[in-house]
Amino acid sequence: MQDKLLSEFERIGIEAIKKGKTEELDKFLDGVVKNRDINLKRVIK
Amino acid sequence: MSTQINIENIGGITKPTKLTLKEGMNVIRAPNAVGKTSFIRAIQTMILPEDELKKRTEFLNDFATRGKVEMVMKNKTVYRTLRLGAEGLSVVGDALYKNGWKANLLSVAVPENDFLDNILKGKNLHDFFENFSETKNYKKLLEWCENRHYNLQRDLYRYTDDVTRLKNIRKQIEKYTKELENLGKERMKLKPIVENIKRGRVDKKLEEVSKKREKKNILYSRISELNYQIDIRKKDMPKLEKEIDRLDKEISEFHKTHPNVEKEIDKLWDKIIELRKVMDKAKDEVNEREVDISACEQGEGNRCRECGRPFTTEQRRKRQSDLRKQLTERRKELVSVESKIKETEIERDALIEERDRTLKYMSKELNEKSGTLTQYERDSKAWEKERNEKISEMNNVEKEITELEKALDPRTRGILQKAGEVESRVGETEGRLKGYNMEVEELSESQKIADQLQIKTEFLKSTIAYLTNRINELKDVVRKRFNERIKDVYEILGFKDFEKIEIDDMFQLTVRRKCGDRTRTQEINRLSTSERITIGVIVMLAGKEEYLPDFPFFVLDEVTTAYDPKRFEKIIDYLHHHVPYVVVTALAPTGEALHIEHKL
Repeated sequence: MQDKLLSEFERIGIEAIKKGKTEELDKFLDGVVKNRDINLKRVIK
Repeated sequence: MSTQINIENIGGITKPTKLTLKEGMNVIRAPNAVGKTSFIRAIQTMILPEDELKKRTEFLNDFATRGKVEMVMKNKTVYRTLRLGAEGLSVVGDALYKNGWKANLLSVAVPENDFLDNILKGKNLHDFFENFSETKNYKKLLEWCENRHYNLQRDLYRYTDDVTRLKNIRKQIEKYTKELENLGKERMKLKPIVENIKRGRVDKKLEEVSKKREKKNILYSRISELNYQIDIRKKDMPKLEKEIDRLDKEISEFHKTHPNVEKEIDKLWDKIIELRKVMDKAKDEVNEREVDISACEQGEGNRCRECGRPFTTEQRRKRQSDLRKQLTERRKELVSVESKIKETEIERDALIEERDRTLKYMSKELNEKSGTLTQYERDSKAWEKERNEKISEMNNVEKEITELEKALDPRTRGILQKAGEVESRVGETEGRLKGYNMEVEELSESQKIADQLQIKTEFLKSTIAYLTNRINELKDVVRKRFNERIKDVYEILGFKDFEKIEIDDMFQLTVRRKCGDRTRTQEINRLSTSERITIGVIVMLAGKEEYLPDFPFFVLDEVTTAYDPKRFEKIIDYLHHHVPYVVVTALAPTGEALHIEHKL
């Protein structure tokens, strides 16, 4: 599960860096806190 | 198919010049200082990305403020204009190729090429491969994670005291809850005996003793609770006083250093306004000189302002030279004023920030903390007063109990005393637990935040390790593919000098050479200059094959090809079959203009 989460973070992180929207990464971290198994696509709208 | 290149004011090419590149080999033949390098710079002007091109002020002719390159191809015409203004070099027009940075590094073999230069000097190629592998975004993401990890850990550290305190309290709660359980068992044992005594002797005094004991227990419980609250405040108040002291000192220090901060800020504003006026004046002067120079170049204003006679050639040259000197001086002035404005703005912003931090936020914090301290002092006084009253009340009740118990028989008195002691201890323990639970409630919010921070920092820690690994993986994939391409190019070229040319896992270019029966690995800087240049160009070709297979140009400078003409014949032959336009510069003993020889 951790590996899945890390590769999801990689995907979303690279997108966020390209767009210059690092606030999305903080949302992701909040999502990790909220529920480690959450569907992260729902967290990052 | 051909491509026409129109060049004006690029490097040494000042007059509008038209040159045509034809598919195949294009040899630019001319003596030194006629424009071979400028022609290559014109091609680079069309290739380089805008931010990179802006740094290349040497591309624009020294005496011009505007230069242009235009490429007329079969389907389209593209152009780029360079303009030197007060802000430096500006670029108009798009690059010919979207990946211009790579195109310039992998398709223009000139001595100024950083990639080639690093290969020739045997330097490490790690930074280039980092860019080739496009790990730039990964590095930015990693940097973000590292910064956030650091900040979260710092935040977490702030909650360490609270979390430790909470942990200790929880241990105490466990201890006293057990004690309360044991007391409850003892109480249950004593309860029927006490009830039997009460049933057997309906005695008013005994009933009174029980009531008094109950009252005493309630008082005892409240006293314990108050003691606990007073203790907490006693611990918190010195910390708060220390904080208030620190804030007070910092604010006083600020007032001492800046007795009239608003005036200071106003002065800096005034200075900036004054400097801006100077800057505007300098800008106007720069523009005026630019207009004068441009008019002078176009033949306007070449008459004496006083007598109206036209200037002689000598006078015109002198005037142009004077105007250029003046322009350089004004530009210097402008740059100096701009830097002064920046410095003053930084000074002003820093002072405003310090003022706000000290006078707004610190004062607010000081007021809040002072208010809290006053409230704590008030609470403590009230609690101490209440505790003293309750102690005195409890002492009176205890005296009354002793008096009443004197009238009872010793056995009954003993049992009742024991039951009373148990009740007292129950009251005390309940009081303690009540206090602890109150504190747990206060601290549990800190624990919640600390837990969240802990999850985030742990996740970021794994992310940092994961991304570091990914970056290395990506770079390694690129390195391996690059090595395969080097092998392919080398095989096609049919050179036999080396067994293998490869970029090792430390991103150092090495070669393996057969020496009799043995094979030796050598670093590049151990090879001869001609070998190094050949290998450098082979690595560039491998990179071009990998990243820019459709980029239509490859440029070779004569400085590069002159070292080993035999080997370069083969390289040029390779290029001939793989790249549509090959541009090679060559030194001609005579001639006054650039001359292109086309070879199919």
